[in-house]
Amino acid sequence: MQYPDRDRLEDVADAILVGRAVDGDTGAFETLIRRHGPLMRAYTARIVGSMADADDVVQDAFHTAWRRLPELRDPAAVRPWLMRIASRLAFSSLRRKPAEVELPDLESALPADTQPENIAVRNAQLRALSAALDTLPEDQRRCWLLREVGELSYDDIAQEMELPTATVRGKLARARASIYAQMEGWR
Amino acid sequence: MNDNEPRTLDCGKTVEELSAYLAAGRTPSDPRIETCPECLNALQGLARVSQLFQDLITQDVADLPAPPANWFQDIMTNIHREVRAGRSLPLPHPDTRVDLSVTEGAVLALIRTVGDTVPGLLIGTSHLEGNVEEPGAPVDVSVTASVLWNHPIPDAAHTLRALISDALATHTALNITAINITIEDLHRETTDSDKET
Amino acid sequence: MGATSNEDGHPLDEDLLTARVHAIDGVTAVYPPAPTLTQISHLLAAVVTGDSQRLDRVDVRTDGATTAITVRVGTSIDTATPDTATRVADALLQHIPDGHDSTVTVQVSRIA
Repeated sequence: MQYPDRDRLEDVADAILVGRAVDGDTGAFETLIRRHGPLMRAYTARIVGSMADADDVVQDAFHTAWRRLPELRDPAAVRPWLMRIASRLAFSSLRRKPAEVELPDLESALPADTQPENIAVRNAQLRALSAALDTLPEDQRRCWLLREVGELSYDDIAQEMELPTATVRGKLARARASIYAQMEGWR
Repeated sequence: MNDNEPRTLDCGKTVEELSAYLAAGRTPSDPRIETCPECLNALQGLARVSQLFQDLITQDVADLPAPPANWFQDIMTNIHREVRAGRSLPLPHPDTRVDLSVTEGAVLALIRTVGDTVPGLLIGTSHLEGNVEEPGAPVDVSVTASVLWNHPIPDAAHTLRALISDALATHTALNITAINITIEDLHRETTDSDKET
Repeated sequence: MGATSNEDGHPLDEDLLTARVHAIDGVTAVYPPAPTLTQISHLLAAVVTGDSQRLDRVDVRTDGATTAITVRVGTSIDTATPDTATRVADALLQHIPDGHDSTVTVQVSRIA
């Protein structure tokens, strides 16, 4: 199958692409993958701790999304919906595999001694944040990622995690406080 | 978790309390917090954690290695295998041993194919409403489309309706009783100055 | 398969029927039959060997007296699809041996 409309589709809002994909347009779905795939891969790598596992999870997530797309009620909100699917698969893959969780060393691509000082400081800051995130209990980390990357509402997170909304709010508050406390040296 | 016990500020509030206050949208407003410089500093710092986290994810995305060679193709191959066929629309044949049909999915794709040939227009969703599996039953077509500002919408809709009508008459045996076209959304590339709303 | 051969080979040979369908004016593709349990092993074999051609063909089920021929095709947007589908069905009907209680199912899955 050719995709003569790929260039056209790239300029179109998510809601239109979702509508076409629900009708069976694989080209429209391909555009959604290109648009949201990178954030999903980065997000999932933050959860599962390795790029290879993240790539597997995101593949599954898109496959699931294709099948379940007709159930998506607000086509404009496809990104948080994709994030939710990726999150669910990522955390269940973590439970299947009790491997040590190691965060991808994404910063290592930049040799430290050639960085201007402010960039070095910023990178150190981001490393500290990354480490702080890693110390969070799983449910807090999951709430945090759903909220801050997935951009889900408190109610949607509550539904996703089968928790009362007030509990979600509490977990997010604790996650934020905990990260903040650990980041004190970098403020 | 030895390091992340809630810290208590000199004013007596804990970071955790302030984070909960922030999570509640700073409502109802607490004058003891809103007038305490220490609390306000902490609130600002807590709010900055989100921004910093966005920076972290942005950097993750920027530093993302390319996916493995077949990563993308594997997804598409799986999806193609599960193309949505939808209902089965009968085509006539004089021999009773023969069952001819065209899938709903093929017809929706046909509508997109002809609709997308209209300059400046892109099909969104399309639906066949009615008992399409019953030969001769009345069927309404509903299509949403987005149109660029510089093409007058009445013309585009008129052209689209004619193209869909032709295509369905040529390729299906459906008894089309109406073609409803809704101009629903605009391309993101549309310039603000002349945007139709 | 209980039918007798003729000069073209077995009249219900799937590869032969597939070639016939491919040659029909207006047919752009032959697709795998709608997935059933029996085809999953086919599917896996084809995926493993990268040989998707093996799937894209006419499906024949026969017990000697009853024959069901099924094919999914793509048709050209430049040719009226009902005419193309009729030509496909008529071509397949010609291959059904006399005396068989048979059905021919043609499904158009794509028009482009």
